[in-house]
Amino acid sequence: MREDPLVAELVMGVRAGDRQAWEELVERYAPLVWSISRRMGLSRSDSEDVGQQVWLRTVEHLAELREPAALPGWLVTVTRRECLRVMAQRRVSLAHDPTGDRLEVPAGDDPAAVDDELLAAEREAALRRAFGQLRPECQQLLALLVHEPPLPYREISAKLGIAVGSIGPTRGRCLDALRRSPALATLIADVDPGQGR
Amino acid sequence: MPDRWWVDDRSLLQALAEALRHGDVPASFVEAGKLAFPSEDLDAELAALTHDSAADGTPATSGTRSDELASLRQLSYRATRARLEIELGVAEDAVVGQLLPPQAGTVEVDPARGERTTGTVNQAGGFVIRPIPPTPFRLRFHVGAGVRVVTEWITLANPWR
Repeated sequence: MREDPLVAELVMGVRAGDRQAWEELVERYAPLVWSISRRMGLSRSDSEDVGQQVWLRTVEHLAELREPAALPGWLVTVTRRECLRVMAQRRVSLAHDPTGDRLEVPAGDDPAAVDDELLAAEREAALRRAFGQLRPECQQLLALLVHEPPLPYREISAKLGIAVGSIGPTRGRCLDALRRSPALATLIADVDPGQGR
Repeated sequence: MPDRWWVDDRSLLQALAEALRHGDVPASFVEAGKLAFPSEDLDAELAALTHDSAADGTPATSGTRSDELASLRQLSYRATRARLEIELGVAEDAVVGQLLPPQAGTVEVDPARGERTTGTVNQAGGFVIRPIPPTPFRLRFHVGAGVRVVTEWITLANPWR
């Protein structure tokens, strides 16, 4: 995600007034903007407001971006700042609420935090792609296993029509398939080149 | 997240859980993003905010020429090339504006979400926008001989909502 030649192409397209390039750019980065806001603890409705401001700012300032490939990092910074602004407003309105003080306020453009967000976004995008490459049986089982709140094995067994005793082994096989799927295998090889798993 | 989160089944499942949760981007979120693209006026000059009474604590009293409405907040924008200043007074139920130097034309209200509307700017450069549009919005002015100016996005966020 950080060194994607397509980003530069899309940015140039948008600058030239190409609406389709803009729509592609939004589709590509909506999960990044959305997940940052959610990770920072904002509600769905606040996250929608954050997105609104982030896109407007992006349209306005895209022309000033010196290095188009730097767009993802720039988006992370703008999104974090916007989240902090919303959190600060909420804090004002929660001034008399004792839980209001517990909100953590991290710095908006700390380079290490920006890098962490990009890595997390990259990891999550690879995981979602890898998940999409699994057999439907594995997708169903894993989706039930990560359900919030957690489901008891007997409920999973009833839903999928498999024995409780085979959930564990199937889970192991499905996670192995996840690791080996091209999307995740590529990421793992990048992060940990010496890994001969 | 541990360094080698993919090795252990439990941490891999945890990573997958987060990825699936965060990937749950509402379609409305993506659509709103697409709509942010300016459909026209790429050649209009952007008028930048030069003063905001809410930012510096100046009491917002008069200032615009339409003084019949007490304004709660005053904003000024300037387009340097077009030599146009836009003064806005935000009253309780309307935005009262003044172009400097005074000149007639049209003003289009362009909210990020919702319909655009067009109003007139009178000979004295005055205009009234009622009710206050949903924010953020921008104002596009068409004055004189093809002079086109668009303000930055105007946010009149109410922290108490």
